[in-house]
Amino acid sequence: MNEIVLKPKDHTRISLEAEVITPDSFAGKSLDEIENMMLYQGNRSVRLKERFDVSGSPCDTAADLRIIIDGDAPRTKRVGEKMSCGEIVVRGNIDMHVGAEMTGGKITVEGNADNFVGREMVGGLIHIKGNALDYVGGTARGKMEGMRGGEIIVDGDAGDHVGNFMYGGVIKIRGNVGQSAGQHMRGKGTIIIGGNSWSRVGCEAADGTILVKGKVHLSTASLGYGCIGQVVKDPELGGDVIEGEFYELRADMGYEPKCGIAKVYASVGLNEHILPGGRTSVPRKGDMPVNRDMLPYLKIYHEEMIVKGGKK
Amino acid sequence: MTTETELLIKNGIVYDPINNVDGEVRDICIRDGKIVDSVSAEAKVIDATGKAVTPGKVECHSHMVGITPTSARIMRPEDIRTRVSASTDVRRAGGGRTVPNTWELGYEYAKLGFTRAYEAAVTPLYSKEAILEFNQYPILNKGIFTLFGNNWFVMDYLKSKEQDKLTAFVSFLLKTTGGYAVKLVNPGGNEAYKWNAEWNCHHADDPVPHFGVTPREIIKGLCIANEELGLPHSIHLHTNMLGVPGNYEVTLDELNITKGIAVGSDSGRVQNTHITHVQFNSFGGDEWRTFNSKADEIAKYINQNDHVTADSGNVIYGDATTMTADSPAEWALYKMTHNKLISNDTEAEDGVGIIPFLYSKKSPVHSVMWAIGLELLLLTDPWKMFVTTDHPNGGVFLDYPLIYSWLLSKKTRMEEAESSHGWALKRTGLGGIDKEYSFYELVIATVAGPARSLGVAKREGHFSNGAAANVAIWDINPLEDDLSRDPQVDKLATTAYTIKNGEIVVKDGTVVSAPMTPLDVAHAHVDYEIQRTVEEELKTKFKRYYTVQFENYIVDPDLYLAKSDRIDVVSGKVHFIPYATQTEEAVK
Repeated sequence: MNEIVLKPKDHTRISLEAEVITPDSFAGKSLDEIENMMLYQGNRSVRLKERFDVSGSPCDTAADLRIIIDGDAPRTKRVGEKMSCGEIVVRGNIDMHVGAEMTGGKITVEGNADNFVGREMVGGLIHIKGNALDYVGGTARGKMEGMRGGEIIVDGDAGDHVGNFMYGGVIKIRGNVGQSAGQHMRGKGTIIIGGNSWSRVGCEAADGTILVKGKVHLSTASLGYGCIGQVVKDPELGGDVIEGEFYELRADMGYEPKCGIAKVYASVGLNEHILPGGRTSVPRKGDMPVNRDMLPYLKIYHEEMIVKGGKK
Repeated sequence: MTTETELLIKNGIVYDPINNVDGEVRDICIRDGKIVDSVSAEAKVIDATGKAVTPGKVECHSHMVGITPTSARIMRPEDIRTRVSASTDVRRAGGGRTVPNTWELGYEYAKLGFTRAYEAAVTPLYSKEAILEFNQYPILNKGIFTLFGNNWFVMDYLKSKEQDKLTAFVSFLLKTTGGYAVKLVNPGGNEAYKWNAEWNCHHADDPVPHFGVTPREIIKGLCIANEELGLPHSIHLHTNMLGVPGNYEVTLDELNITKGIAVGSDSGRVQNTHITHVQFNSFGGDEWRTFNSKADEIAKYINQNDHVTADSGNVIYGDATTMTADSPAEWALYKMTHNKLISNDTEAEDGVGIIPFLYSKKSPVHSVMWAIGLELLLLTDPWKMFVTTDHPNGGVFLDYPLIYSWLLSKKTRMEEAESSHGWALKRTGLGGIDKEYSFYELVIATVAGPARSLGVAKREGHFSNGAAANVAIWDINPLEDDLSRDPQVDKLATTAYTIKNGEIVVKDGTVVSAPMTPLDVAHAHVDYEIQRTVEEELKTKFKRYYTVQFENYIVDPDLYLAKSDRIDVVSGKVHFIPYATQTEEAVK
């Protein structure tokens, strides 16, 4: 596999619209051509070489190309947008829309990712080894079609609205998630949450499956959790058998056209509070899902902005 | 625009239906923004050899500015992702398809060869917003159709049978809110809907709750008022029961209401009623399962009666945003699609509904709707049926060239029909229509017909001496090319040149100049005494009905309408007073 290494030069606060960083657009270009590719930064356009040191061996076929962003690129957006094959590795943090609308290939982020990981993706694999912020596998504002296929794995925690308007594919979050996971799910998608989930799981979900291995917090009684079907042992979801006993719940009973077709599985051991007559759960320390402060690169930004603002 | 500009368009193939010119090779001379007989030798020459030359197109029904498209822009942030345009030295950046931003609309219409466009529905309460947007809208001349069909004051005057006061009220409201024509949307039905979401006016004699007047009385009363004032355009009617199977009977019934009312204007129009996006009102059947086309009935009526003109409201497959003041129709659509909905009412005036919508080739109903629009255009006299999509309800105006291609070529039309759902041919008469538009007829249905119907034909829409020099030059040779075999969609989509008031604004599909052009406002004069009486009555009612003060409701002419062309109407005679002369008057 041929590798092209992009080493980020400096960190700016104005984000870089880097939708050209995909194996598809790098394929068949010489290093010189790649260095001179245009990116937008705010309302200016810059060349790739102004923001990255480019090295490596170019190649004609995108499928044989691996792009390595060697370091933190916390203000580089839309990396891997619409990629169809090949591989991207980010050895650090990355900004929003990584792997948006991708149809194939693989993206690995060794640090954290910002919002909209795998927005509206159709196929391929995204592996975030750190945390991810909101709208993992979701959709951008206004559009009502999220992820349709492929797989997203987040080793850490994820923020709110995981799988917003999801139509298919698999999302696996090993840690906790924020509120409204699986919101507006419309198709046969699957979300597997290893940790706890904050309130409103599966709200307005028309179809699909959400499994929570930890605790399901409730904040309102409007969802259909009262409608407990059965206890399921070792369900098979997203190609894996998940060990343990789970309550099978109906998601939002208020969504009119497809009332209660979506399913939420919640582990038996940790979720007594959702049984009829169960006590309202009070969140304890450690239950809380992702906190914005836990994303180190955001902290850097806030500090940087404060410093720069102070100098003015 | 500099004062001494001369332009000579040489050897173009000229199409000018108002002057019965069908593809004659001749020169067009322009001086100071007007068509003239001859120009001096220093005139700038455009070589139009082998190119079609037509007057600038006129859009008679489109939702472009005002509170409704603005709400839709807010509701559909995803729309801007579909297409964006970069800024240049002369134009601003823009984007969007179904709800583009204000100036993008101006540039894109100009690229399609349009030089005049009308915003189809503005509630008087929010007309300030529409006027402010229009003041930023480049290149095209424009005007606003003001909503009257569910206005409480209109219904009050109809209930007490005071036609003279109604006439004075129409004049007053158009003048004070910067309107150009009287628009009726689902007359009475929106008012019924505002009292109960399941209520509507189901036919012409279904009374409006709490008022007791019927849609028949509203249409007749406003048509009489319109003709008494002699406004340049007739009433612009969107009939009841839009989008309901079997509504063609209501449409025919309501068209018959105004038959016999004499046209009171000398603006050149012959109709007293313009029925808009008639495709949505030509449905047969009792329910969706028996849904079929009744376009032939509607076309027959319009062909036989001279008091009606219409625009088609074609459906084009793809993404659209339905937006109309007809809230009951949008509520019915919401119950079917459960898509995101805005439904609103504007105090004592009208309603509004907005839903994004996708027209699909696989859908039987959408396929029939697609065919109905074409049937109407093909079966009706082009002087009476104009091409629109009711942008963005049936489709996006950017796709107009597709409609042109389906009209020009049976082959293209049947290819599209065969790739649609089978109902497109089974439930309609489209397959049996062999007619193909000639280029001349296309120019009638897009330029001459709308210009005459809208009452602007005295000053533009043709190449008579003294007419405004609005010209579109197309890289098409209809004399040699067989448009029925290959309708050349890409060349119909962008002009070689668009000339607005003698200035080249578009060249080879690129905007080269973007002048700001004035807004048309109709000032119809009525008897002073009755106008005073109506104003006093309004002030009293305003305190009860409205959340705003009467003084704030009126559009300030100096702040908002400083750059508008005034169309003064005195006892049926139309006087055009351009804003340039208005300022001269003010200086004197």
